[in-house]
Amino acid sequence: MAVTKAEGWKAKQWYNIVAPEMFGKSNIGETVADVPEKLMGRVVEVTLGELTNDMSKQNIKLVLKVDRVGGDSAYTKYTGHQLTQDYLRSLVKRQTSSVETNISVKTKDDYTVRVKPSCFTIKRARANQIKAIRSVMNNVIASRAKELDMAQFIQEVVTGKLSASIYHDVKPVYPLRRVEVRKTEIEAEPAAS
Amino acid sequence: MATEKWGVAHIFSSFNNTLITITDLTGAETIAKISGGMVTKAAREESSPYTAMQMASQIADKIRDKGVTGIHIKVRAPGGNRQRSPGPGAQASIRAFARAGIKIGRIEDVTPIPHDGTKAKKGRRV
Repeated sequence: MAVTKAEGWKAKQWYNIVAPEMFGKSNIGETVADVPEKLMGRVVEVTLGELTNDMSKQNIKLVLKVDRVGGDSAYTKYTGHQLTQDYLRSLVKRQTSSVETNISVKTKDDYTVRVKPSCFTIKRARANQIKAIRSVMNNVIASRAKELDMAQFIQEVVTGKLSASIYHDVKPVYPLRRVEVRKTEIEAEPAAS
Repeated sequence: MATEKWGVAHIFSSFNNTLITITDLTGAETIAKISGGMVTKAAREESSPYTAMQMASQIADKIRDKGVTGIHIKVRAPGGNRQRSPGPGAQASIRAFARAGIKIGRIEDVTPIPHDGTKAKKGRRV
């Protein structure tokens, strides 16, 4: 095994991983493979902080999947994002409610995106208040998604603009401490491409 | 970026053993791997911090030969219905990587946490 592995390693080549267009097509790093076909479908996790050189965005992980290989670069597409476990844990506190919801929306260019936001309240909310907060959240996300393309929508999610508009709309219902979009997933792409 | 190659070090640290696997950024290609039993003879020392230190410095040489100069670290405890906090080898190996001159990127805990699963083993369940 050890001998074949040494041969195998020499046959392998390094490929650059390139970020999607909406994140500026920057170079993320390298991956190694013997044949380029094996690159397809590989998944890279990068923090938004690394992509944009913004140190305050270290707790957002983007999940990028290789979907095209050209020369020695592997081009990726966005498949989802997630907050880091430790950051999410730091937001949950006693005597407060965290209101979570989970909806699947269609963007203007026919991508189906599952969005999982949560609101963290200042004090513990009652059940009917929680229900009201949840319905406002769902409305905001559905209406925003209808107006925007997938790339713009994801851009709004990760830069925190969507959280800000949820915060603005939920505020009259109940005082909030923080709003975060915990996770997104691309569920389906338009049939044409 | 062109001269620096990054990898991911998956460190699994339980009370009985420590496993280190270095992969590329995607996690699909293994660059090098090592376990406690490859360093020490005694089974009870497989999880000790000293073993983890030796493991890290050995594997650091291996990955440097293959051109990897920096690593992101993903630490993992047994998780599931077993303990959630990493064993004694985790911290020692991270420190040994730094001492061996490997650049360290972000450090993350990837212990599998159940969203309620099966019942834990006998004894006091917290």
